[in-house]
Amino acid sequence: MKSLVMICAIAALASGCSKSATPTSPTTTVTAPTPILFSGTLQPRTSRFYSYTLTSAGTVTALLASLERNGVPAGNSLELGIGVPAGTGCAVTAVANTSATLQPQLREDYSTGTYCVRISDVDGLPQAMTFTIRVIHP
Amino acid sequence: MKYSASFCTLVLTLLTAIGCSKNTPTSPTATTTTTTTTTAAVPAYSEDWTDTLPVGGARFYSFTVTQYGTVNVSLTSVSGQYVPSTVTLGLGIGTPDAETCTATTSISTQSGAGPQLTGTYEPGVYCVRVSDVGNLFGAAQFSLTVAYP
Repeated sequence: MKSLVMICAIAALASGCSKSATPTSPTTTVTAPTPILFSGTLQPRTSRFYSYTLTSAGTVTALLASLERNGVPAGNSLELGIGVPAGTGCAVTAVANTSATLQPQLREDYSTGTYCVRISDVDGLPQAMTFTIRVIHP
Repeated sequence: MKYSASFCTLVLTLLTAIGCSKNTPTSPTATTTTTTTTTAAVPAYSEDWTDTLPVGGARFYSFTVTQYGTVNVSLTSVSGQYVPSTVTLGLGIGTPDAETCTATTSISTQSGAGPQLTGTYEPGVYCVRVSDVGNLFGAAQFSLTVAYP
């Protein structure tokens, strides 16, 4: 009888009172900046823009990654700007005149919200060119 | 054997009832629920937009809402060669996204005094979108007014 009680008690302790959750170390998730590639064709003396939404505040960088005429890299300079969509365009708050490069030409800190990047031909391209803009945002 | 099993079940039940409880009773706490009602602000700003809508095309216009409130969109006129003023166009409100306006609310409507579209929106950047829903045979000139807080 005594041994029966002991067996039942051990069985109960083993199955019912288990708190076997082993503590684990908290993990930190690092979110990599998100790149946007905006490509298209820019006609002479026109501009185009691209809107995006920041879901977290942080630094936004933009660069004119490439500019080509008939598939050949072109050294022409364009106006690159970042700002807020307004009316039928993008109201830029920061601009840079730049040719294609892999160095960020614009760097701004923004809170969450909707923003835009704009590319404009101010000087007058000899003909339409294809471009790629790279925007990196949090 | 039957006796042993019954006894074991009894012991298990007792141990479960008395052995696994480590909770110290706590006093009940009162929960207060506060309901905050925010009143939608009436439109304080108004912008007029006139543009040309190509056959099968869409145009959009962005604006910034600075406080929670009501946005009214009025498609006031549509005209053009081969375009009756009563033609039905698509009208929507949404957010600028890439190279377009992604409408979250949209209707098909004729022009008029309006507003044809109204809604309440949190602060942020929004856009109104006008599109051909398949009724145009020629480019249409349109005028639109957006009023927002």
